Amino acid sequence: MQNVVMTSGLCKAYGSRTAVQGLDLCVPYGSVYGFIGPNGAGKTTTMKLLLGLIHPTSGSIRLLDEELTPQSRLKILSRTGSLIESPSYYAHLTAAENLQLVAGLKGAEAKDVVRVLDIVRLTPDARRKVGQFSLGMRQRLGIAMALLGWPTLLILDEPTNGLDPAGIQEMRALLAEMPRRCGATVLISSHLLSELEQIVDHVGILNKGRLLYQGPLAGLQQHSRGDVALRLLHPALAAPVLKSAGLAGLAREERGEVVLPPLKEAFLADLVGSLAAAGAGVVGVSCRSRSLEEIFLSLTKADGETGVV
Amino acid sequence: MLRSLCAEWRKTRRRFDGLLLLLVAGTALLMGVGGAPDSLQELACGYSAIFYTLPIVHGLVMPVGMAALCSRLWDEETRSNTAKLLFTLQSRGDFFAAKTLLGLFDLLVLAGLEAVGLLAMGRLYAFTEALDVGQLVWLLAGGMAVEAVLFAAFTLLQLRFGSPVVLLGVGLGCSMCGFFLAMLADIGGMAAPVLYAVPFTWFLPLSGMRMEWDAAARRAVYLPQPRQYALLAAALGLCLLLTLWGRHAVAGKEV
Repeated sequence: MQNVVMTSGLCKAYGSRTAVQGLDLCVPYGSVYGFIGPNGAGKTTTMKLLLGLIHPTSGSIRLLDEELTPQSRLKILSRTGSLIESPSYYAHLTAAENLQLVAGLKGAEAKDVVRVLDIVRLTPDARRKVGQFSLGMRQRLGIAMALLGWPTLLILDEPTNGLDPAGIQEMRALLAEMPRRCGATVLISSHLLSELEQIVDHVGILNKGRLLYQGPLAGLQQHSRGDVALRLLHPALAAPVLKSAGLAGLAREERGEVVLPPLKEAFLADLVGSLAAAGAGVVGVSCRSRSLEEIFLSLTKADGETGVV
Repeated sequence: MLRSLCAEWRKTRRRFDGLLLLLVAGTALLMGVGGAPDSLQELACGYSAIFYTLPIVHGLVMPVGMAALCSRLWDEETRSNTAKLLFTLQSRGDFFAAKTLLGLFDLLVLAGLEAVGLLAMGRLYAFTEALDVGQLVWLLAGGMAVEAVLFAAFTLLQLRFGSPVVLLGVGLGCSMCGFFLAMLADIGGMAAPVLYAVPFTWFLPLSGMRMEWDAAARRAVYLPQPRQYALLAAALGLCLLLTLWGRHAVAGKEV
């Protein structure tokens, strides 16, 4: 699959502080890519780099099959829509006037304003001044601005920031239907994996400016297996086998089951064979799946210690 | 570029820039004219008197006026944090140029309002002095040049500090300082050299009129003074320099 966004060794430093280091980002065409990391991980910095709002210290960026340079930047960005940190708007203008202003700059048709107002469900409020809007309505207006001109790529930085639960739900539903309704690839950031796991199909996990995982969401779950629970008829006979496998100190007992840390499949198969041979009576093996939130936390906590996924 | 200019024009809706310009021009004219002429002698030199007093009043009013105008033009971008959207839609050069052109347009409107106001005063009070169009054009050109310098300087301040309070504070300080220096210069030429060193007081050296007190007749006599084309060119040059500096600041700004 081709990538709509590709970065190579992207770095950004502010003095002695490195915000993004050696980032190799690959966002496939047609995907909803969740860019996830704790606060201060470098998500916004990366997005600003992609939009040319800040200059990289080193590395290169390819957007929509073109190298991002000062010369090509505006041409490429004419096919993108963005919302960075908080929506930009003129409070003294109405929603429609704000959108007409952006449409004029993007070279979008005037009727496109009606389309995007409809998508973000702001048509009834089109003639109201944005200064009177709630935070959620302003966020939706920001999304509408990003959608003007049928962009091929949408870059949205924490679009649910500051919204109440109902607003988050509404925004999530809105974003989930973007690829289908608008045919755009969506790159969306959040510090909460749980917030995005229902709408993204690819994820990139960022911490301290470094990418810890990148790939399909399903791969993240598969890659980061949970604990293994063994139901044994004679748990006492398992102890020597676990000891010889080097798992003696790692095994624990929970509700009549022997619980082991995540194991590779081949290793687990050998272990089950050894336990059966030792007469422990293996009657059940189950891999406990971890929630994405747990995976995310284990990844970001492990970063800097072992770096193991 | 045209798109950027159209966008700037759209932003002026409900911003009431025109009212601000009317207020600045009106204040300057009313202060410049002072009370109604009450003698034939005053009517006979009505326009000359305004050509002389208006640059002094400009020194007081325009720094604050330009600070207010500049902050109206730029502060909305700071407050609404629009740079990160606008810089993805247009080149930074076009964005800055459009803002600068709109600012220059405002200065033209301001000059136009002053000219119309001045002619209206002449009609209202029935000045017997014939209007010297050359003096009027020189007054407006000199005024606009210094106003443009002020506008460009305040743009830089706004880009640096992003606060209208700083602009208005500096504008107020410049007004006080300018007016004080103008008064000193008026009293027997004191501080006149200082006026040349402080660009926001160039309204006075660029004035086309000077005043002498005729002690025998106990009245002011207004005389044309040589036009300082070099100073006008210096004002335009300084304005250009400050504008290029502002453009450079916008081009390198990380948002």
